[in-house]
Amino acid sequence: MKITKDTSLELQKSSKLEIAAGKQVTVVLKGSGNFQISVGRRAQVQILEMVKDPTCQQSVSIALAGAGAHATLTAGFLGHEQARHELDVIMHHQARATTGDILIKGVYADQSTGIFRGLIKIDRTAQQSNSYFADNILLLDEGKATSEPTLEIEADDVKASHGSTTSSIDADQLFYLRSRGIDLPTARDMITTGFLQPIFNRLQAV
Amino acid sequence: MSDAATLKKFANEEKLAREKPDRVHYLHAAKPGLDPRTVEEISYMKKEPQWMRDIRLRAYQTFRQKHTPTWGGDLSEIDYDRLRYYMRPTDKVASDWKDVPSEIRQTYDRLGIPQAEQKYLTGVMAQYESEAVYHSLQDKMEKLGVIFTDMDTGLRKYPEIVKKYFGTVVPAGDNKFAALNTSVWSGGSFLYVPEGVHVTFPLQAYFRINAQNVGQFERTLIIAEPGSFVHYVEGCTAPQYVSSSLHSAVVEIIVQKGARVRYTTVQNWAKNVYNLVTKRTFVHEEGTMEWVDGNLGSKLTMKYPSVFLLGRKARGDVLSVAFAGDGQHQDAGGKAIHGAPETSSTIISKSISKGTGRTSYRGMVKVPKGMKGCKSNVVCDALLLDPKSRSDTYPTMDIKESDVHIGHEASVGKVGEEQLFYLMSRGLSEQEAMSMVVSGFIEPIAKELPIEYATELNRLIELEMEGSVG
Amino acid sequence: MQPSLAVNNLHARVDTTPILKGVSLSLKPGTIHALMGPNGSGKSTLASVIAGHPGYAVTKGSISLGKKRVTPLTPDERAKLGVFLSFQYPVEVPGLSLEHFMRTAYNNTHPDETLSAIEFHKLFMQKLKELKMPSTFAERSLNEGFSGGEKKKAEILQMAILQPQFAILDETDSGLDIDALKAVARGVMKLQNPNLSILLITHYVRILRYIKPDYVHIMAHGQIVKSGRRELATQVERKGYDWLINPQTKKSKKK
Repeated sequence: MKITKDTSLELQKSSKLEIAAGKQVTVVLKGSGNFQISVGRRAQVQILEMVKDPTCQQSVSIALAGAGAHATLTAGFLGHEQARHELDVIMHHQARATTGDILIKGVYADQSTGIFRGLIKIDRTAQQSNSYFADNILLLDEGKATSEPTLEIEADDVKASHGSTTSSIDADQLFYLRSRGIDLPTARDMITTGFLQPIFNRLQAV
Repeated sequence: MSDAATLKKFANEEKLAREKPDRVHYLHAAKPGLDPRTVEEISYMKKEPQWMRDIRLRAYQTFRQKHTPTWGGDLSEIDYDRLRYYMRPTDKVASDWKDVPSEIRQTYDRLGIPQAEQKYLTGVMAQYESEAVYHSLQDKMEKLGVIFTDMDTGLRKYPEIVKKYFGTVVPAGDNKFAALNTSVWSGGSFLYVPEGVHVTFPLQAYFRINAQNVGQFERTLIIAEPGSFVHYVEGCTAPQYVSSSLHSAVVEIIVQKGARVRYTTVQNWAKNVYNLVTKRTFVHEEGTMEWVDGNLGSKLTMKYPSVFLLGRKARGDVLSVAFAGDGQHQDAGGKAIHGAPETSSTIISKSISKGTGRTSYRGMVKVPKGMKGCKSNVVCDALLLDPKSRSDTYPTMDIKESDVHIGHEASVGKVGEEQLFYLMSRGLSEQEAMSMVVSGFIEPIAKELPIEYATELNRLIELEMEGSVG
Repeated sequence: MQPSLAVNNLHARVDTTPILKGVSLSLKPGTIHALMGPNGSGKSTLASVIAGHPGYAVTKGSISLGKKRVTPLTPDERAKLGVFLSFQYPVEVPGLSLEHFMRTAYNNTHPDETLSAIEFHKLFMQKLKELKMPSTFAERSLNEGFSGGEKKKAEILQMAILQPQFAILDETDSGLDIDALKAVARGVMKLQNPNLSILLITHYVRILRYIKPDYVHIMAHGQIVKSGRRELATQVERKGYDWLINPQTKKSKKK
């Protein structure tokens, strides 16, 4: 599917998108699938999603194919009970001066599992590119997570970095809320919701 | 083991015993290629106990069964049949000073290494001892009850200790190269520090005995008994010239309760060498292991010092710096397995790629379920100096416990134009400015090295940087 | 007598955007010049171009030192001729100690009187003391984790060590509280001598109470629109810049 105008759209199953030069597109992903998005010269794509399903297996492959292309992926994951989420994301910089920004926030409670693999690949042809990948995971109860944020960089005049954190709820935060009279489950809820709030906000703005 | 297998094993041993090598066979071992007879002969020549011979032979079978890893660097060019697996201590690496490549001799001169030392490093001289230093060191250690010797002597004089620990940290079956090392190992260090003993001076393999030290298949075993401390330093920054192109060492370290071991390596292999090393430590309760690792030279290095944190509050650090020049691939990193609650780990990796050089960080942090209160922090930074340079980062964080703090950060970039301009505006040439930024970049690790190593490392990187500014 | 640093009809651009559109200026030894003007007028660009920043292309005009053409020189070659830029935003270089850096720079810019590590250390400590800076500066990484005030002080320290003949102070006063400002200004005044000329780039008049300029230049839209003696600064303080910036020039430039 070729997108030739500024627009917002929702993808519910495996699909291939090609965004024409100069266009600005917002894509909301829903559920499992293999999503391939190619971004043309000076085009911009904002990819958003909030996953709460019991299972989700996604592969998102973004090709920054034209010079000056820009892509962001902002994804929230909330896992309960036996939920299992698996995300493979590739930000592939193929052309000059392309920029990519990936933010993944995940909360895994009960016995749920999150698996996140992120690859930033910068080709030799993609000088002056800039790319960032962050995944922040909050584990509760018996939640589990695997993060593999990888970089493959073949151009020198670039910036590429990633940051990854996995932790439980901050005890001081919990204590602070509870000292104001909030019970434990509500406090937990408030903190996890707050953690995912930036993603809800961006989705609501679509 | 099944009865049939046991029988088969005995039959095999008997067969080997019947073929007991005589003098003529000694030469066989030094020939290229590897078969059970070579392994048997290596052991026989070293007058080893039967149990070690068995370990070697079993490891040989494992080596033959294991596949060459397909990840990491390109290992396809290694031809096992053309390699030599044993060199008698009297075999000199280079028989004459003139045989040593001029590139290496020049580097020595520019590093200001005395000629006697140069000859030792290239193997022209089989022994390099700073007699005075070496003997006073031996005296001090004897008083402390510290055993510090080469691994062959260690096995001969302290077989019960070696038998207890050998292959427990890195079993032969761990990977193909660990198996190869176990079957043909020679040289390396044996270090035993008794309970509560703090060795206040760094122990340098450099001052120890003879050229076996710079062998191809070193095997090092370090045991730090409860509450002890030791700093072991191996290698030196001068390029190590070896005639063989495969270096595959195994280092096993046991850090008992409350003990601390620091293991520092600075190595600069000749540019034809495959440097494939397995280094691992078991750290018990409240113990601390610190790997400080500097990798220069070689064609391909694959080395991921590991800490298995097995007791509550054990701690492990891996600090590494790698420099890859034209045609070189440094695939290095670290591994932290949090096998007990409240354990902590830090992995800091800095890498520099120049020309067509490639550096990769490969790491693993694992927290199994129930290991509460674990902390881990991983930071890897890569610097790319040329448009054709390459850097990869392959970390894995496998976390099955929620009560943890795990952080990972990585960044890749080049020397900033603003930094260069700032330094040059004060009168530094572009070359000097580049070198200074690069030295500053590795400073957090260089400052952990003994001062003479840090200075040499900096000088060496300056040398490597020459001609990096177009 | 040593020559002046002369900027003649200098035009420079970054990428395709012209920023300097014909700047002329002459710095005689022993004189202090203040360069003032609104944001975006090209003051910092002029400073960077004089120091030889590779990100700017000189399209017309020249910089010279007596008969020597400065324009084709690299930044380090200019430093060796005595040009010093105190950066508005000093760059951080992690892991590089200020002392080690300065010793290399000193020996490069003073080839006839190079100092050993020990000799230089004495000089370094003495300069720290003179500028009332703590000795811990020696081991710290270049500008890393320095506060705004510390960065500016470190720039003046570098100037004190390298003893340049042409010092361009690019907003050395910005972001400083009054005590830090006084300390920096005192440091600069201590360095004043008949062989040193200073180009002081600033937004504000307040630093001119401590460093008294002989000449004041007002810059706008990439050109110097007015030059005068010290009184010009007082007029700017009272009336602002608007009266100096000819609106017609602005319009014609847009075309």
